[in-house]
Amino acid sequence: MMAVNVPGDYGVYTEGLTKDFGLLRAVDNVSLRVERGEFFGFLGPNGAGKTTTILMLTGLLRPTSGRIQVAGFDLARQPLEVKARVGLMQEEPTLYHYLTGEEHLLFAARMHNLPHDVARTRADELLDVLDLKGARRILVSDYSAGMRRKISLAAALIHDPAVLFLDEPFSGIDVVSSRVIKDILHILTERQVTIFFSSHVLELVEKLCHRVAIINKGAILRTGSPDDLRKDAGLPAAASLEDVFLQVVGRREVGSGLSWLR
Amino acid sequence: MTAVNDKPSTFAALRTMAWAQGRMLLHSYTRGPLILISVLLLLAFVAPVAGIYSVWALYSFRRWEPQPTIELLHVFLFSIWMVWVGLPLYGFSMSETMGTYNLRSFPVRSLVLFVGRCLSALVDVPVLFLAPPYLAVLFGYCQHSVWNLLVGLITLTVFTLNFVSGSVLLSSLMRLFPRSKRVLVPLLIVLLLAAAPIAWLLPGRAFTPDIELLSREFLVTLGISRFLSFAPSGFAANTLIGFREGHAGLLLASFLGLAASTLLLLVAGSWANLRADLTSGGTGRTQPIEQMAYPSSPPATFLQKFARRLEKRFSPSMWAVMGKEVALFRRDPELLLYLIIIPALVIPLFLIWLLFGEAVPPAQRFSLSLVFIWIPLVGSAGLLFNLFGYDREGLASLFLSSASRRRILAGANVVVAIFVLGEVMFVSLFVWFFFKRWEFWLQTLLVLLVLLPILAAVGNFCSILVPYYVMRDRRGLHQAGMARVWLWGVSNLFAMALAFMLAMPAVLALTSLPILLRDRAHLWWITPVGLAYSLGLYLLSLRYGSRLLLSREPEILKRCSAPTGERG
Repeated sequence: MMAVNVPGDYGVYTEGLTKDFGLLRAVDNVSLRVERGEFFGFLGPNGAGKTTTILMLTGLLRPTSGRIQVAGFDLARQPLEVKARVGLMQEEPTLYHYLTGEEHLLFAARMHNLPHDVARTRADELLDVLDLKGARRILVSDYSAGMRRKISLAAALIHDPAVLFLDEPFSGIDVVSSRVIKDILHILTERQVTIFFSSHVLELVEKLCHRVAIINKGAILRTGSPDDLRKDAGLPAAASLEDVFLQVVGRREVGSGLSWLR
Repeated sequence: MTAVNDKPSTFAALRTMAWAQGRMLLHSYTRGPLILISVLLLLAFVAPVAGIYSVWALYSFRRWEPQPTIELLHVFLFSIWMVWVGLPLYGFSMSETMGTYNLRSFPVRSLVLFVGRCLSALVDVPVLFLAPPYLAVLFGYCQHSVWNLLVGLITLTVFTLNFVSGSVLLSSLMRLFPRSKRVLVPLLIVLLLAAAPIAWLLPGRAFTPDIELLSREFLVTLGISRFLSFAPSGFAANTLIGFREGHAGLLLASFLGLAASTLLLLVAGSWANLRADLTSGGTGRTQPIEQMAYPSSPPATFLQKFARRLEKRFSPSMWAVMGKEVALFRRDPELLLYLIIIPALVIPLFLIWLLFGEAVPPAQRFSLSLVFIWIPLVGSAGLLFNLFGYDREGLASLFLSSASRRRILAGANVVVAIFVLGEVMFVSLFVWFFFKRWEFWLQTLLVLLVLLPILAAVGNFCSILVPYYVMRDRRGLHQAGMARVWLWGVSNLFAMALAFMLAMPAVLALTSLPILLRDRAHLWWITPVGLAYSLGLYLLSLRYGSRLLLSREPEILKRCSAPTGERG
């Protein structure tokens, strides 16, 4: 199917994206441009609106207003075209608890219309690479938090998405698997897959991402490469992304609080 | 240096739990008008039943002679005990807002937590329905003096704690062994044992056909108090009887029996609750991972090969949805219980009806027996009206896919319809076996084949427009979810009525035309016509329902996904 009204060659494009929960404005007029094949970091403190934005970008949450295009397709008008091209790994994985890990992967593959043989091969390889082969026939409900994340990532990758949304992908993942996931992400970037990456681990974001957006209280405060952000903040080249983040979002001191710990 | 705080006293812990329960109740009632609507609906449906039963009991306690009154008191209290203890079996657990798992990190003893959980169960709307029967007992049987009223009040308070702890014990046991079929079978046996008085009645036939059910004579002839005296309800009844008749020995022994059985239930409940909390660890896991592992796949059987061949012919996504539904039916304890509970309730009811319905003329008995086919049909077809409720957190995976929404609906419909068909055909087997009318079993099948696509068609729209999240561990009366449950219940009722109205022409044709034309052979042309009609409606529903589903996925997801505290 042909994409319609593509404003440029973007992996993710939003215009005036807003989400209200009653009186609370969780996302406020967010406009993003993420190039195809770009590794894009999405940073913000807790409750800033990161997950809400990702849920809206993947069609799992209806925006109050605004326009979303993913992989060149308008989400409101062509939701299935978008869903065929995106993968999502959520911070709290949303999995079928009463399927085994292997069954869940096969389910995800077939729901993306992959032929049985392809689905089986890809599921086997993903389970092997992510060190889940021994747990393939265990119910997802009996997985540890880290194993659930890995299955969630595998399900997000199995249909070879054009845009991958990752919400805190490394949380609870062991060191060995973290390295494997980083390798996978490098391969994906080489294949021009757009990666929309939300994380609190700023060293990782700095290392992996081409560009970064900082969101706070629902609004985008800064967008640019880590070097651009450092320059904008007037910080030296040796300053870390954490310094930039704290300057943009604001630092909070313990001060005279927690008196009983002193 | 860190300081070690004192542990809270039992009273302080219970007070804090009661406060938390009160706050949660308050929040749940101030979240919006939906909860008030739900309470009104609850009152409209259940209050008349509780009210009429209680008024009849009050009248009977005051007017009847001593012997039947004693029998009635036993039966009355036993029915209350059974209904409340059995709530988890019907999908309603008490006091789920005050689950104890989250409280385990505090320095409070397990027994205190359990008592707190039981007491917090009393801070809930359904408890209001205890008022009419208790008032009937107090002002029908204990109205002779202030002391009598006081003893009645104390006895009923302990009795309430008794069945509440029994109910929480049962739900803890169900939480402890939710996945094990080896435990569901004993549960079923316990249920059947609870119906043992029926078995005792069957050979005895200790009544004549013209005796009115639950009349004085019937109760006296039955003499069921002899058996119920050793149940907690019997201890409570005998305490009241002992005081009224001035029989101090009976009073003391029965009250001690009631107190001891309550303590026993509390201790057992506390143990089971602790085990359930610590074994599942809040994740629903009940066995170590190595025990939970499913055995390696054996070589493909003929059926599996056949399934793979079918899969190649049909869409992989529809096949995937069907596979997912089958897995849920096999492994989800709530759905497993659904499979068992309908026949387990309906078949004994049918046998009781056969027993007590002797006075009814055979022709009427036959038509009234159709109710026992109707009940499992309505009970199990409810699943067609909430297709996404059991998906819980997995629903996001389903909606993230690019699969045709028509296939998603069709895949789920096929599996649920086969389940409904199986349930109804299984129960109808009993009904037609007792009437020796096997030809009606076939006719039931034909009616279902015509009816199910129409139920699925309307059910699809109900699932899309009014979905609701089915909580884990049978948490039906959770306040936060109660409003949705009742709203869904009413919508479900209307939707089902609409479906039956739409199906009426085809069903009437299948059931009445062969009689009018005096030849069952006409079914050969009536059935395909009826099927064409119902399948036509179903295909229309898929066409429009799939579009509606796609546009409403965020809303369905919001309604059907587990709240954070529910996630494992």
